[in-house]
Amino acid sequence: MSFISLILKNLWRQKIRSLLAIAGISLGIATIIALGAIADGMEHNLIATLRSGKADFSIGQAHAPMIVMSSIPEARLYEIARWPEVKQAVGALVTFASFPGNPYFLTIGIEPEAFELGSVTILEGRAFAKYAEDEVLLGKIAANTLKIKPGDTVEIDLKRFRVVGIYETGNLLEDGGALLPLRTLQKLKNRPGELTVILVRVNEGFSVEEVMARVERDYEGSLITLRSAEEFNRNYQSLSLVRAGSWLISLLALVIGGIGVMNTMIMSVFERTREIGILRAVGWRRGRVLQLILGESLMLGILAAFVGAVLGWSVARSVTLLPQVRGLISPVYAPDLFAQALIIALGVGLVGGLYPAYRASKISPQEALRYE
Amino acid sequence: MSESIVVARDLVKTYENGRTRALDGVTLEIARGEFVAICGPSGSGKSTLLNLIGALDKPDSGELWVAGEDLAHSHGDLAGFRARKVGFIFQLHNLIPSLTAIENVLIPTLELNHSRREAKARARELLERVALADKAHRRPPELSGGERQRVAVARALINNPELILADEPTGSLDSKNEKQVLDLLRELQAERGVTLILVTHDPRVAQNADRVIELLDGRVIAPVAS
Ligand SMILES: Nc1ncnc2c1ncn2[C@@H]1O[C@H](COP(=O)(O)OP(=O)(O)O)[C@@H](O)[C@H]1O
Ligand SMILES: [Mg+2]
Repeated sequence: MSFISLILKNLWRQKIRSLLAIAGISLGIATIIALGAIADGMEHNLIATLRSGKADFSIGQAHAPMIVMSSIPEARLYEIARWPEVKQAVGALVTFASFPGNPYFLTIGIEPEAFELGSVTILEGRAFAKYAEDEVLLGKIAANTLKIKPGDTVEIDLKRFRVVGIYETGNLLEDGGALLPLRTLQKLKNRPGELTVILVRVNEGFSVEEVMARVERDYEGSLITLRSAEEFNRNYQSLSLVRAGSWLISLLALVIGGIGVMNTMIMSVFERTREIGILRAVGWRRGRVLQLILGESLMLGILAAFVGAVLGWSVARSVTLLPQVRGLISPVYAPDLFAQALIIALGVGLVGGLYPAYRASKISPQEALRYE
Repeated sequence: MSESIVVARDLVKTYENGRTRALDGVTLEIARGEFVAICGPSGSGKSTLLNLIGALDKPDSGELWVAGEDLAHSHGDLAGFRARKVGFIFQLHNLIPSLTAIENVLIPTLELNHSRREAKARARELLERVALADKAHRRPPELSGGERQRVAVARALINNPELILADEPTGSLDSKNEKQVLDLLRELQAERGVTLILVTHDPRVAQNADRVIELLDGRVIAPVAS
């Protein structure tokens, strides 16, 4: 018989109570996993969206709270495009627009010349004209889900557009959205002269790092350069609202779960006073009693982490199957996320178990054994 | 005279800030390998004395040496001493209800770094000795009162203690089971040369011992010379 099996047996003895405690913690864990996976997925897609194709690097607004909230004056694009070391620079406005059945439809304003740099492939129909006011290209996934073909009309932000073609970029979020001429989208969104991101391709013979360094130097404090998904993460992640929410829930889970576990363990220690007296009488040190009770509450946390991970994974999966977000969200299950969940769950076990374990270790065997 | 395993002088133990004087100057000596009964009415201080000898509690004053350890002046937790030197048997609810008989017997071995396989073999052997080999995997609720006490006897012996301390071990048994447990204790005491101190309020039970120490109101009243 091992110490661990003793811990498991003690939890198994009070099945209902243990299950309730596990259910409580695992709900918090599931929320963290589901929200986190969805947030990661959205971010991942946005990052790919903004850094897509054959560009060497992207430029975003410094200190923007989220990638989609980045705002760059179009004038910057023309300044940078004139630099001798820049082969091509194109701008894009990335926003969400309302679309029948989807208030958060991804719309990207872009000029047809930028299609190559952004890896846009026309599958059906043709590209829109540069200044067309009512032409739109629909992503492959959006067209499939909505059953729309070139020639049909759609309503974006209450304005009618003609679908002239279907495109594919290979990015889930982009392929679930629409491309519009840059000017048209700027007008539609009332954001004239505004860009979200600039994609840059560097001339042969110049180093990408040096060009990036020049952007950061010349536009210090207003623009940042981004080369990889990780950089996007570092710059935008901590400020993301969904993430802040996820941490808040983590904290709540820690506090509420911790109180729940503490309650469970205090009751359990109280009921086992005599038993603990016996353990001490046959030679268990205080420390071992402490380990036993703390082990039980940590085990509750570990079990809840597994239940919560499975639950959160299924919730995130079912969310992606909702028609409203079809194609918009593909959850990303990063190992970090599960590590975060496990740490929270262990934290709950620790917070909830420390005091009861301390109490248990202080039980006087002489007192405990007096009452039969 | 043979070597003493327990030497107590003027032991005093009070509770509730001195309002209850559970032991009021107890002096006694117990020889190694002896079977002694401590007998007296309820409340006379028997359990208190046994708990002091087993290092579950400390005297307020007096001297107490048990198995070479100075228990009156020791500091800190004496769990290690209990694990190695003492085997306790109580009247009731000795066992952890969620664990099987053999797991209960193994409980004290967790504290000592014995090999697990050896401990298990020893537990099996002891269960066989107390005639419970076939019930090793039953839990306490599936055992009779007498069987439970025999499991407790096996547990008390698992770490090869020098002393067995039994506090009313047959107090809740019928006379048939009482005899069986007492016979078993006496046999084991003789065959292993271990010292057995048995606390009882029942003079008939005390008759089984080599020697009876009588307690009344926290004092030894009839020291019978050995
Ligand atoms: N922890 C304690 N707190 C208060 N009084 C106690 C405690 N333990 C024992 N006593 C008292 O000490 C006296 C002796 O008790 P005990 O040693 O249990 O007697 P016995 O085992 O002979 O029945 C009794 O009056 C009892 O109430
Ligand atoms: Mg008693």
